[in-house]
Amino acid sequence: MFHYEFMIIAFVVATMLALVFPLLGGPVVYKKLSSSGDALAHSSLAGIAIGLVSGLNPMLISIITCVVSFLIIGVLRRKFGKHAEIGVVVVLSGAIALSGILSGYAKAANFDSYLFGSILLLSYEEVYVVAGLLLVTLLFSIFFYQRQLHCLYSEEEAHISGIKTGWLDLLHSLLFALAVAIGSKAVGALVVSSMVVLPTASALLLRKGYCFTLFASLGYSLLAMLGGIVASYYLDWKPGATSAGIAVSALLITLIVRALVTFFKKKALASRG
Amino acid sequence: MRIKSLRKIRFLLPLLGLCSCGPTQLDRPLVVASFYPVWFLADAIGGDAIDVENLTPAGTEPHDFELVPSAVRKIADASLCFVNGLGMEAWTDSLLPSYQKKTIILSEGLPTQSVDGAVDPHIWLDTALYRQMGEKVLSSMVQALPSYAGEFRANFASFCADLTEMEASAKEIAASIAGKPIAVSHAAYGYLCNEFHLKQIYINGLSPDQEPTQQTMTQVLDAIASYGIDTVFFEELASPAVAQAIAKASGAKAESLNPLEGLEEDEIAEGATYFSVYLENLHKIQEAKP
Repeated sequence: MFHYEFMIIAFVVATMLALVFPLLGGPVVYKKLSSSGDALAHSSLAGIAIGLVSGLNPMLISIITCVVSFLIIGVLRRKFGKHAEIGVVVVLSGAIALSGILSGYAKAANFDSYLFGSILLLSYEEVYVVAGLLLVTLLFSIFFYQRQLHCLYSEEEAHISGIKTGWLDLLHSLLFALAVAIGSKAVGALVVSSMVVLPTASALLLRKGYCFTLFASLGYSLLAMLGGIVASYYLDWKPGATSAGIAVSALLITLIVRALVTFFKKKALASRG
Repeated sequence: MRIKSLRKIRFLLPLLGLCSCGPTQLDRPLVVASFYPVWFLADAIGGDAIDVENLTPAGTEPHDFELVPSAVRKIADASLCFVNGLGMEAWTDSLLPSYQKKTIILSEGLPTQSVDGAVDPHIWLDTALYRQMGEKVLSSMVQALPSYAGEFRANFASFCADLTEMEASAKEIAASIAGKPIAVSHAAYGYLCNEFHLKQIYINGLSPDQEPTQQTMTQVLDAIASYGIDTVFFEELASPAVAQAIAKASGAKAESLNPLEGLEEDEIAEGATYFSVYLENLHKIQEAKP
């Protein structure tokens, strides 16, 4: 498998993205904005459509639209208060409308290649871009670990204790938008939206502390991304879809195992009592 | 402690085995082609001497095709990869430099037509250009696999003979269809229309699966009525819904016409080729009114 140049590149990029997605996606899940990954992935498509139609660099425009969309989601989230998810749907709808209309003007074949993206067809430039993203993400996650944890626990408390929550939020938004835009190009918009949420969701089912959940989510993410590539190689399936499938299966299996464990624990307790 | 943690990952060791297997050893040289008409050329010229594989599976629309791992693997293993170009294979640009080096774009340097300001990629429907594409296939194959040069040249000669024979049959039909307007689901027939002086009235532009706007629908319906067209042609590999809707609204019948982007598996099994389908298309156009 690894004597093929394209497989080595796919593996390296998958590993890097598998680390990036949960590190940046985790906080999004905690903020109850899980579907914003989906909204951003579609915003990146809208950006690509704008880029293709206007002749500007699609990648750059898609990063900009992603950042703008996430900022809008942030604003709407405060406006709608309890119903924060509405903001996500508003942006998602807008992005779908915009990309749908504009894609009619762009060359369809070109647009499709961005829609699905393929980890099997990456260039060396894309490898470097993803490597840069991983580096920045790791620095951010390590440097702001305590502050981010504090913010997620209680934004107000964190603010009172002197953490510049607004700036931290903005920085995270920027990175998250960047990850979705770059990820969409590399593995396809559809896969990105599941990979930013599912690993953290699976890890949360384990009901352990923040740090444990973080590492567990990295494990789930690596399993899905790398497992997806290996499985798709032997089964000749589409790699992105296979990764998403493994991520969902891992979540369901975790759910079932957890339910069984609680069931038997209760039974053991009952028989003892 | 260290040994213990090593034991933990013992189960990963068999995975290392995956790395050790060498590249697929091929007894015969392999050449790949992006979709049907390109494959047909390469297969006709390669003949029995080499393996020629079509990357787009039978029955799949090349526009919809996404590379699966086995397809990229075939490109990696092949000595040559023939593509049509002109945007038919969006994935060519994203191939690694080492794979791009053996990718031959057959439309390069050939004169093209455009539809609505965009280059029409359906260049294989022009038989003269198709022959030139064949020449390019021959020369690159001879260069890459010189030990088979004699066979390739002989195969190309017989391919050209078949093509000339087909052109002769086409010429017999040509007079009866000259000047005819045809209603088609997607603007794939620009080169054919140019050769036979047909006029294509198309619902979709160059992309077969686009949704037409209401404006185009009315324009097409008006044209069908004013020319007295009785047949709306759709293609089997794309969705026939739009052509059927137009046919229903105008009272015309819907009939399939194959732009040769691909054939169904059973068609190939029944012996259909580029030549037979090309002539069949002309017969269908001949039967359609006006």
